[in-house]
Amino acid sequence: MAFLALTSAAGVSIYQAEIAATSARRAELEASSSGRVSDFALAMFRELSATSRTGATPKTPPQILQNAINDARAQLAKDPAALAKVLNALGELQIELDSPSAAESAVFEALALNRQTHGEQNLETAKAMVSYAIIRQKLGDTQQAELMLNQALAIFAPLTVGQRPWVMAQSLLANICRITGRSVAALQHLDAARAIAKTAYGADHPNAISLETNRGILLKALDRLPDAHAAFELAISAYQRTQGASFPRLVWPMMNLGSVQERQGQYTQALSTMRAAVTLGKRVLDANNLVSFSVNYANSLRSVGALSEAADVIDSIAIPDIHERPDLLSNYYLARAMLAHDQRQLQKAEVEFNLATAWAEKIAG
Amino acid sequence: MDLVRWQAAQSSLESATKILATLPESSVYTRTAVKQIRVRWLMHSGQIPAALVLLQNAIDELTAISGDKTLEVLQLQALMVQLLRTSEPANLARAQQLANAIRDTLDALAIHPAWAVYLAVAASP
Repeated sequence: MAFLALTSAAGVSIYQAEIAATSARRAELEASSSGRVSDFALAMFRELSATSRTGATPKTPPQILQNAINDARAQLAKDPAALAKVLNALGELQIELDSPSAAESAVFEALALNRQTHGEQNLETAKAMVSYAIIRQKLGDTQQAELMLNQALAIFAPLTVGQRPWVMAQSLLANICRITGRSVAALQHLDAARAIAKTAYGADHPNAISLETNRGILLKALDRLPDAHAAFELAISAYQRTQGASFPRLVWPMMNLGSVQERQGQYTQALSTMRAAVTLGKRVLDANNLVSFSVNYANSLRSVGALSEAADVIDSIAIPDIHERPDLLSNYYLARAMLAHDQRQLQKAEVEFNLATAWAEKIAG
Repeated sequence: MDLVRWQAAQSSLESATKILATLPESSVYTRTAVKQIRVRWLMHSGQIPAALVLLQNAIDELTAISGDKTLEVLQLQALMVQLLRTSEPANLARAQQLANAIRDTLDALAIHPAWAVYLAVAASP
């Protein structure tokens, strides 16, 4: 009995020691992973300073990111779990700071490494699936993106720590359903996300409020204009109350409220709301994010006959900034086509309509 | 528009109709845009009664969503003016009345959309 107790105690001790060793190793990996990401941030700041950088000209954020990715691949080659974490984090940054296609290689590698290290039914693997789905969706491959997100959702669902990524995956699915014309399904995904977001984030968290904006967009697509109007107003007041009047995400519900006001025949209010949204957008958003707002504003100006103002707004949009966004390009060329039509330049309009159609076909796949 | 352009328009219309058939939840605004092209095609090919029915249906559907004082509805009404003028002489007075009503509404809204030019042409003798 004493022997049993002793071996049992030893077993527990060994088990506890193993847990401690695993935890220490995990902490080491976490530190290593976050170290790589913070190295990237430090490199960014060094490049901004003429006296700190090593080259004559500063490296661009995409170049620094690519260097950090190459460095991680070389130094963490024997530690696939840490490498996967770093590649996924840097890849997510690459989507925003470079382009979705530039990020695809790192994020796909992260997904493969996670599958290999942790298996399919794992939180990290599911998170990498979501990152990869974002890239596929941004590149117009909505089918693959939807498949990935549904797989990730099934993994997140039973995990209590999976609540926030579950909300994100539901929200992304709602967006894919929306852009592929399934507004009813989109609203179901979004309402599921909203219900969990209140506990996962808290009702006043910007991510929870963003879902109200997205809900308004779907209600608008379903022609429920008064409901959409109310949803956008709710999002605007919640952002203003919790984040202040210059909060960047305010631009989305403001612009959409303007669009609903327009459909309701409230043209003066609509243009005023949209102008305020674009003005705020110019202050707080990057050029890429500003594109859709500028296109919408130009369309509204055109529809009330302010053609030269509309042309000015359209001409201010920089195409290189949106070269990998078929959705933005489709709307951009459609706006140009409609403007050319209203200016009685029918041949030009036809060319622009064809471009809009070609890009729209890339979205639908 | 010459014959070649009308053929292209018809082809686009058929494509749009096929796509719409796969999108049963599409917004009334999307469906109306396609109906508008079909009305123009029916008008061009002399099928005026069918065009009148389809256009009235589009106007009713959109009005139910947005009210009757919106640019989208007024633009459809302007198309109705053109259609009435090409139908039969008995409809000319109705076309004129409708054109005046649209112009009054646009003036009240202080809005002068590009398509209002066609309204003036349609309303002229």
